[in-house]
Amino acid sequence: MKALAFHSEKCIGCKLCHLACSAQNEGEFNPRLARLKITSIHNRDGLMVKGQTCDLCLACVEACPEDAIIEKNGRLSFLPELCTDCGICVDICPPQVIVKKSIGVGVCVQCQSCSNWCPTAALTFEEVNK
Amino acid sequence: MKITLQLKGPLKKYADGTELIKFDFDENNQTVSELLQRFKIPTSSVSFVQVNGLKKELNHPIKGGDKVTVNPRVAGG
Amino acid sequence: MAYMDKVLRINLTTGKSTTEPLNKEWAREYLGGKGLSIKYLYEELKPGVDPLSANNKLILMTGPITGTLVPNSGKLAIAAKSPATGTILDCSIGGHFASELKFAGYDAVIIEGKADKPVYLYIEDDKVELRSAATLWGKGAHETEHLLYEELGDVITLAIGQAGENLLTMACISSELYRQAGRGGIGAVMGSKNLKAISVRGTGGIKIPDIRKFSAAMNKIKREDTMTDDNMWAYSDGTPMIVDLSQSTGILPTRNFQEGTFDEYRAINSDAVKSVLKAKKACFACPLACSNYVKMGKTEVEGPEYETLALCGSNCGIGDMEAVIEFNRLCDDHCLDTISAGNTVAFAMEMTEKGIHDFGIRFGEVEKYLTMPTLIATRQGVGADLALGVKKMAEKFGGRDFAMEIKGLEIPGYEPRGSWAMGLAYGTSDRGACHMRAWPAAVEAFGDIDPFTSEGKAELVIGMQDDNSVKFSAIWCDFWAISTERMAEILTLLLGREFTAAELKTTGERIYNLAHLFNEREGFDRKDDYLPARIYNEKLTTGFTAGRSLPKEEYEKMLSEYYKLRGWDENGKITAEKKKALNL
Repeated sequence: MKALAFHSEKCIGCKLCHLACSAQNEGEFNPRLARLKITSIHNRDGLMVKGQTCDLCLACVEACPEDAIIEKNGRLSFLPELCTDCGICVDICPPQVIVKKSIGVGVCVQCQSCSNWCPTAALTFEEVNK
Repeated sequence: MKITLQLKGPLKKYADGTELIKFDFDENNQTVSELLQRFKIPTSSVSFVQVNGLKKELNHPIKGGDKVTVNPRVAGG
Repeated sequence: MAYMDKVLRINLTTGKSTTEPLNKEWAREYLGGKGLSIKYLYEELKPGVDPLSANNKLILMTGPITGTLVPNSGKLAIAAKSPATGTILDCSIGGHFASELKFAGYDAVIIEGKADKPVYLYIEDDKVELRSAATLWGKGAHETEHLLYEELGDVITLAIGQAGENLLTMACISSELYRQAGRGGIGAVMGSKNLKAISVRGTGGIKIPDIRKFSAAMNKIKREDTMTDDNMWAYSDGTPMIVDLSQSTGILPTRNFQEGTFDEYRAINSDAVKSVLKAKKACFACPLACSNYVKMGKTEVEGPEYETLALCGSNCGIGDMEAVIEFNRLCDDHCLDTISAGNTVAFAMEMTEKGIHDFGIRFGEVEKYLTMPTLIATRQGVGADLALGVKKMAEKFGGRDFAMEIKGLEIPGYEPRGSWAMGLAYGTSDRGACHMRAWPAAVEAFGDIDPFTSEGKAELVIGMQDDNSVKFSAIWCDFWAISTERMAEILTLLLGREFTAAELKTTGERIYNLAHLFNEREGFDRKDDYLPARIYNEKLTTGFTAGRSLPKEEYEKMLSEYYKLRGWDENGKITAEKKKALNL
C-alpha cells in the first residue's frame, strides 16, 4: 500500500500542505483542519521540524466501534451516517492526525493534495510496509 | 582551449546540477551568447555574465583559460 | 470571503477593544497591506503628531490574499508614523503572523493610545486581552517569544526587544526570532505604547467560492510562474547570492561607503553562508524558502541576509562570517534593524579613524564590534551615542558629508554611485533610504541598463515604485518577480471581480501618491529628497565603479524628471490635477 511519508530535512515549514488539505477536504483555508500536522518552529534548542502524517496503520479502522472508518484499496473513507462522535479514533490515532469536527471527524483519505503541493518533496506518497 | 563555466543558483540545472564545469572549447571567436546557447540557457533567465570576475556584455568574445560566471535573475533585494 | 470584513481596534489607554467592519470603499482603492494601512493613518492621524506619543497609531494589516494558497502571500504590513524620519512608515514582515491573524478573524488591528504599564496583547479568535508584561519587560525578543510560547501554546508572536523599550529610532519588531519589521523605528512605536508583544492564535478559516478550482489554478501558477529560473535563486541561495553580484559590479558598500568592493568578500558571500547552512526555511504559503538557518561555532541565526552581510559585514570592514552571524543574532534579539545598526557602527568607525570624534572603534575590530548591539540597544557607554543613529550623530559630532542616511533613515546595501537609479529610488522613497520601494539595481548594476546615466531612470523608478505598492498591499513578498498581469489574474479569481493590469498600475500609483501626500502634510518637499554629499563628490576607486560618482547635476536632472512624470511640481508637491485623477 502507498501512504504519505514525511522527510523532515527537506521541509521548509511553509504550511502549503495544511492549506491544500483543508481546501480539498473541508472547503476552506484552515490549517487547523488539515489531516496532517507539520511543525517548524524555533524553540530554545534551535529549529525543530516535526511531521505527523497518516501512514495507513489502520488503528482507527480497527478501533471504530461503528465501522464508520473503512479502508478500501488502500484508501480510508469516513461514513458520517454511522459515526456517533465517540472520539475513540481521534484519541487512538498514533500520529494524531484525525481532526475532531463539530460533527464527525476528518481522516486522511490519501487524496495527495498535500504532497502535490509540497514544493520540496518533503511530503511524498510512497510504498509503506504493511 | 579550456574554459571554466560557473552556473550560479538555479542555472545549475542546465548542466545537470553541476555548478562548475571545465571543458574544451575549440571554436574561435565564440561569444558569451554562443556559450549560453550551447548549454540551452535562455538569456531571459540570466541577469548578467562575468568573465574572469568582471561584468561583460553578451557579445564579449571568450578566450582560452577564461572563467565565465552566469548569474540568475534576482528580485526584491 | 477573502476579506474577513473585520478590524480590531484596541485603545491601550482605556484598555478597551472594539471591532468594526473593514472600510470597503478604501479596500477597493487601496487593497490592503501597505496601501490600506497608510489610508487609515492618513485619515486618522493629526498632522504633526509626535511618533512616540500616545497619539501615534500602530496598524497591523493583512491583504486579500493572506491566509490562502496564493504563493508568497505570507507577509504582514505594520505601519505608523516613523520615529526615525517623521514620514509615513510601512514595514513588511514575513513568517506566520499575518495568516494567523486572519484565521483569528481579522483583516487588521489598529492600536491606539498608551498603556500605563507594560502589557502584551493576546488574541485568540474573539478573545482579546491585554495582559501584564511586567516579567517580560527588559528581556530580549527571543526570550520573550520563548516565554509566551511556553505560556500560551502554539501562538505566533510579534515582540520588541530592549531597543524598542528604549525608544531607539532603529528599533525593529521581531517574529519567530529571526523575522523583522525592520526599518524606521517601528519597534520604538510599540515601545512608546508600553506594548511588549502581540500573540495571536486563530482557529477559523477562510472560505471562497470554487475553492478547489482556485487551488488547482494556484498550484499551476506556483509550478509554472513561481518555482522558475527567475525566482529559485531564493531557494538555492537566498539574498546572500547578491554579495558576489554587488562585489563584481562595484556596489558592495564597504567601510561606510568609502568603497564599492571588499577584498574579503569571499568570507561573507553565499558560498560562505552555504558552508554553515543547516536548513532552508519559508514564510507561510511560500514555496521559495529564501531563509537560511545557519549554525557556526556557538552561534546560530536564520540569516544573515544580504543587507546584514553588506552593512554589518563589508561596510564595517568585517570579513568574518561567524562574527556577522553573532552580530545578526544579537541585533534580532535586541531588535535592532541591521541596516541601520550596521551603518551606525560603520559611521562611528570612520569618525574615529578620521579623528573627528573618538567612538573607540575602528573598521574590522571584531571584538569591539560584537559588543555594539547590546550597548546600543541598552544605551550604555558609547552605545548611548550610537543609539542616536547616523543622522543625529552627525548633527552632534560632525561628519555630515559621509553620514549615509536620507531623511534620517540609513542607506541599504547598494552603492548609488554604481546604480544611479538606486540613488533616485532612495531619494524618492516614501520612508527615507529604502531599497524595497524600488530596486533598480537588479536591472542596472545586475542587468543591461547603463548604471551610469540619468537617462530614463525616472520612468524606471516610478514603474517599480507603483508595481511594488500593489505587491506590498495585496500583500505579496518581494521575492516573487510577479507581473502586474499575474497579480490581476489572481485577484480576479480570488475576489470574483475583474481586475486588470492597467487598473492595478493606477492603484499602485494612488498608493504611492497617498504615502507622498502624508509626507507632504508633514512638511516634506524637494529639499528632503537629496543624497549624502559623499555620493555626489567622492569618486569610488576600486573595481567596476572605479572613478565613478553620481554628480549632483545628474541627480537633479533625474529628480526633476521624476517629479514631472509623477505629475508633481518642481518642489515635489502633488499637483491638484494629479490628486483629482487619483481620487486623493
